[in-house]
Amino acid sequence: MGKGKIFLASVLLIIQVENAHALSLTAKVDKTEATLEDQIILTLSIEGTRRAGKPMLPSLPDFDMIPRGSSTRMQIINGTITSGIDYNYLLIPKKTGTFEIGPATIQENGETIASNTITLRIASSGTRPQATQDVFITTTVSSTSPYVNEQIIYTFKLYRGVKIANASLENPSFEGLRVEPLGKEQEYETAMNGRPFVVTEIRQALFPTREGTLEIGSAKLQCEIVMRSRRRGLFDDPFFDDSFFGFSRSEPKVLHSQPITLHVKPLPTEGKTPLFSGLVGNFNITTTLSKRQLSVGDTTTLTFTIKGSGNIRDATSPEFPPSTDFKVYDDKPTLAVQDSGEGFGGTFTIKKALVPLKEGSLKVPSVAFTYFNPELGSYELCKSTPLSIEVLPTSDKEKLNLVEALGTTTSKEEIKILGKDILPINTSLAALRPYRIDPWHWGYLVCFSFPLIGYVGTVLMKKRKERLEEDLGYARSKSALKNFNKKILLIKKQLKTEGSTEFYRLTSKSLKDFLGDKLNITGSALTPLEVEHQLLTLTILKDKIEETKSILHTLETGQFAFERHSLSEKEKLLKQVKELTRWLDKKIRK
Amino acid sequence: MIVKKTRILSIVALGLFLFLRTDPVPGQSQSAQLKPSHSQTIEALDTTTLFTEANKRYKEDTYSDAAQLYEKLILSGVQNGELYYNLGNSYFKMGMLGKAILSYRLAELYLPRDQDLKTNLVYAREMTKDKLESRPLFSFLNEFCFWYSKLNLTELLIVFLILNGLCWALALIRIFLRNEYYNYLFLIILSITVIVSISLGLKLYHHYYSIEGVVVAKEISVRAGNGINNTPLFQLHDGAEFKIIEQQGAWSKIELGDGKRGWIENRWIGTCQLESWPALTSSGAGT
Repeated sequence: MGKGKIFLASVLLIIQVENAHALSLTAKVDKTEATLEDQIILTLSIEGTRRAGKPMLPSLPDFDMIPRGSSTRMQIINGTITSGIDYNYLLIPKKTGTFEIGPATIQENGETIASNTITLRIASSGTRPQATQDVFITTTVSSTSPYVNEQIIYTFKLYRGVKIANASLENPSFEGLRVEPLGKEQEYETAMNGRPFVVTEIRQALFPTREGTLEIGSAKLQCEIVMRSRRRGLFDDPFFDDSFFGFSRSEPKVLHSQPITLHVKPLPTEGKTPLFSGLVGNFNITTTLSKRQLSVGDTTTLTFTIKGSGNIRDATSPEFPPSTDFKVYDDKPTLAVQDSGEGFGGTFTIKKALVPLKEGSLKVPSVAFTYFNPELGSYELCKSTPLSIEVLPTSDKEKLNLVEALGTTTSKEEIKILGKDILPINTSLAALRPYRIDPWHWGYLVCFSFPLIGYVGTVLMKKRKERLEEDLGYARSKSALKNFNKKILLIKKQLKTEGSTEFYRLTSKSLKDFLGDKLNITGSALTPLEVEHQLLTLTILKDKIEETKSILHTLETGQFAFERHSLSEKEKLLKQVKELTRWLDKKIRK
Repeated sequence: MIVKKTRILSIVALGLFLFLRTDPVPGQSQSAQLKPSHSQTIEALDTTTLFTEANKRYKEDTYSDAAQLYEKLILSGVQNGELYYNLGNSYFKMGMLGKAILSYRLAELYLPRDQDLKTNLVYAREMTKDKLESRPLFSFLNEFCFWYSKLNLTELLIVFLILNGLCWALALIRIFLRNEYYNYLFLIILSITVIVSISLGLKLYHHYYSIEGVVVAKEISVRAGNGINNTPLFQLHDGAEFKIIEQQGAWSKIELGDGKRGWIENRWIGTCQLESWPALTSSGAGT
């Protein structure tokens, strides 16, 4: 037989056994006698099954019932298997007396199974003096017979002589009262009958909204009192008192305060005038002006400040007397509440923008209201101090409208658009200056190309200069005609000298030097044949080569063969040489 | 050689003088120096008197007279942004939004930085009936390339010419003074010159090829074809702005900012091109 089969058989057996046993429902509590401060744990145990539904409990109006989960169990004792399920509830008593819990019921296969009933006795918690208790709460009011709208201070105090955890406070319903919290809770230490207590104090301001008897119910505080475990062992340190470490246990506790009854008195009718503002407490009023001297149409801000303790939330703006001297613009009043300290109060600020309509010394009207002072039991008058302002004449009366649009000087607003129109025309004679937009104007083309031409020209000049410096042949070629022209002046002087061969020699030398410069060879030693040979390599026209040879021959004959030419012939010959050199200068380029 | 160089310099100097010569003094008769841009013949009037009279009429709330006089001045050759602005104001006061917007648009070509002009143009556009979308390309250019929107064509051209001169001058300096600093400077100036030249090219394209128009009639039908018998596609109202993409005879094919296209009769529209306005003499309800 395998292990699996044994397990299956066991399960089947359990089911058989469960079915074989009859169901039963039992109710039990951890204590049958308790006080209003205690919590009772109610357990409904179903025997014979673990799959039964939740038992039904009759309504318990005298208790607060909080479900606390369920747990299943199975036991095998002497071969007898029992199983069941426990449902737990927390019962918090609401009042004293003897109460019967149950019976609880459960439905199974059409049958109703009922539980037993339990009798609980709930006693009052006030049987013990407070000082002897570990934890207790108190609630007090500053006055039990206030006037309508009079401020009373409600103080809740939690005294604890032991450590507590998970405390939660449930305030009473303050019916017929307006509640204002007074600051944060305060914690301090005190001693009662020689025993130290830590006190947590919470204060609230209450304002009765109607006359008659009002009851402030009891405040309820739920907490768990942390109890030290007796067996501490190694961890004997307060740090381990926390239930988290399992060395302490907690006991749930519900604490109730005593209810308080208020006898609210109506406000007396005697002395009550239409000026009564509804304020009850102690108040005063102050008045300030932002500017005491201004022009007509200018604006000044008048500020009334009502300050005091009491029902400041009920404050309204006192009526501002109508005046023909001013235009008055109301600003939204502001309320600054003061909820710390001894009582509730604050500051109510009213701002008005005043625009004087005429010049001179103008009196700002004062405002007045009455409030009820509960300490004195009478109505008190509050009146602002009268102020005056000096109004100067204005130069521009239209400003008045501007002020209206801007509102008060204290709060900035969006500029109001009063109207829309186009801006005016140009009337300056400068508007008559023609302005031509013509991108194709030739001037622009010149301006565009001028830098380019300048750049190219400069670059070329630079290159030429560099070549002249570096290339001797190029330099000689370029200066050939220039040098020849210089020699012409000397030749011309020899023209008129009769019988001299100097003309022929100089002209021949100059021509040969020119050809030498152009061809980058030594010119003076050139023969006509060599000239022909050199010029032929440069593809010069044959006619011109022949002409050059002929001229050179004539000049040489003139030097050595004593062939004489007339002056005009010499001039013609010189002209011929000049034209030939110019032509050759253009043709021979290096 | 010296004579030759002097001659060249004289020609260049004369050219520059003619180009940069000052404009006639206000008040002088323009008719002798400047030919009217349009074919109309205008009596030679003292422009100062005409201008003063036009301003006077405007202040006396006789806006149609003022508009006529401003038109006369523009037709006489005194073309500038200020006159177009004044003309736009006169039309606006007459309730002719289309003509006002057209005049403001023309003034904008001369005075792209004038805030008064911008304010009036925005206001005039607000008054128009049709809700139109702007063109994204030119909106982008206007926003990011401030020189494109803040300079008119002439100013942009002059900036380009200065940069061009500077660029060539630096190129020359680089040849004579071999210095890294000049190289960097040259590259920076060259980059700016290229950007400005592209902007200039776009501006020229916008001026001459990307023609925009304005409706100068109270209400017109935009049709499917260039004829009165074609189906009306949608209607435009006085002051509606659009792009002209084709012109055939008396009809123009237009495109709105949102891509809507159609044909419209030329007589009901004005084009935002230099020297194209004032040429229209008719206005009123369209078909």
